[in-house]
Amino acid sequence: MASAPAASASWNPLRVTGTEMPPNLLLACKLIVVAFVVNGQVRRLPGHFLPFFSALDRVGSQSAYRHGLQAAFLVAAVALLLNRAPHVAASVAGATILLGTISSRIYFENNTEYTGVILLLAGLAASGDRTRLVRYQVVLLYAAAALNKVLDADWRSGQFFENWAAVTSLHATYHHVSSLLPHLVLAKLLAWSAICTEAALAVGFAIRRFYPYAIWLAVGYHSTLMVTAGRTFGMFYFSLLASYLAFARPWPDGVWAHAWVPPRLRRMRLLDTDRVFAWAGDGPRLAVDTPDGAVTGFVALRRILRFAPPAFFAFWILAALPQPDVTHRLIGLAVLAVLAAIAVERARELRQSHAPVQTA
Amino acid sequence: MLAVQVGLVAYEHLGPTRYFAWAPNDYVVQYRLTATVDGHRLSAAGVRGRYHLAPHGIWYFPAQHLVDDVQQYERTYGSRDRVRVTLTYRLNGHAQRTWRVVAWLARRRPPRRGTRCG
Repeated sequence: MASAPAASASWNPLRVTGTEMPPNLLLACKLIVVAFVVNGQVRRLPGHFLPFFSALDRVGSQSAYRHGLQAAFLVAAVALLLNRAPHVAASVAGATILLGTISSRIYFENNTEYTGVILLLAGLAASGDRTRLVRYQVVLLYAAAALNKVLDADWRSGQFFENWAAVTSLHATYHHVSSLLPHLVLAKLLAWSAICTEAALAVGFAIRRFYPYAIWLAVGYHSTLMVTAGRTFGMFYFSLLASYLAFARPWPDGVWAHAWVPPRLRRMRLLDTDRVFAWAGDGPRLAVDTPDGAVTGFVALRRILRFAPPAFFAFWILAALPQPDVTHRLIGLAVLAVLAAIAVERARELRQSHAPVQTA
Repeated sequence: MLAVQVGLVAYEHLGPTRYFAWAPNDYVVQYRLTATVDGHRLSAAGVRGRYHLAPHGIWYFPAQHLVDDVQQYERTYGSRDRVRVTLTYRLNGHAQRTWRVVAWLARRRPPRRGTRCG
């Protein structure tokens, strides 16, 4: 991974290389703070009100405390986006959210807590394998979530799911399908699907060779929840998806591959803000010649977008903007369609690699 | 920090709260919260203003969080008020339960408070 001295860091918010923070992690932190701002979460940062520790009640007035948290977060967010002292900035942004979390029982939510923890851990990991703390956190989250569900009788029996479905806007569809089956069978099936998925994610994110499958499954799982519930569960969708970048292929150090684009897609070069690709003139179709081999079409597009921070920012901002449930559902469906295309492409690759070689 | 979280997860499973235990949206609590302060029943806006909670709705955390919020308020900011609070709720569609608190700390009276769960 690139680990150039901070002095060479660009001021361009769309660049993620050239700082002391691994590019994947820096991109994750940037996406989280951008989503936090766009989603209106900065306004929600609380003053001290029913804090977990009573001493916090004595720290200034509620409004001054709240404005202090907001100012600290915004300064840290700007520093992160401009690639200034990213470890310190991420730590401050995360600590600010966590301070807000312990300052008000009313503000307490797992999604904001997770957001704060990921930023803080990304900031604290300043040496060695600097993505490991975030990776451990993801494993802990899924393991604890699966544990809580499996220990809860209402989850095991389907009672929870039956009632959760009743308060979502898809209750009519759910109850129609459920009525065709014996009582609670569908609820139990879906509840155990969630438990098994979360347990599988804890295992998948703990074992390196399963990372790509775990990322695919996790994105699919949370996008399905978004389609079903029509909401992002606060910051969960954005913070979770961003944290999976800690498991993704390391960002190339310098030029990684040659790329060709048809003339009509020439503007795609603007996505390559970190100059990962050597753009080799116009080609008849989209193509990338990576160290792993040459690819074209959809696979080439995926390779290019994987290292294109502007594409990530565009998606996170689009998804995080306050919007009606139906738009969230459409975004979730679009993500599921992309995942399906990736699965098809992967299956095709596997079939080709196992096909018998024909000789003349 | 990760070790502290593991400890918190284990600790929270010993009780009913699940704070910091990574149990996101694992509960559906349909609730209604009413309060009478110094003999006056609070309006919906009054409940919201006092506890920063909606007077009714769906809560996706354990119901004990609601109880903790009200109890802490009445123990601290509202300790000089005579209050009667009633929280009725259904957890995951089970039978309705009611939690009540009667609390006051008048200047010339000894502190007295009581809670009842039914």
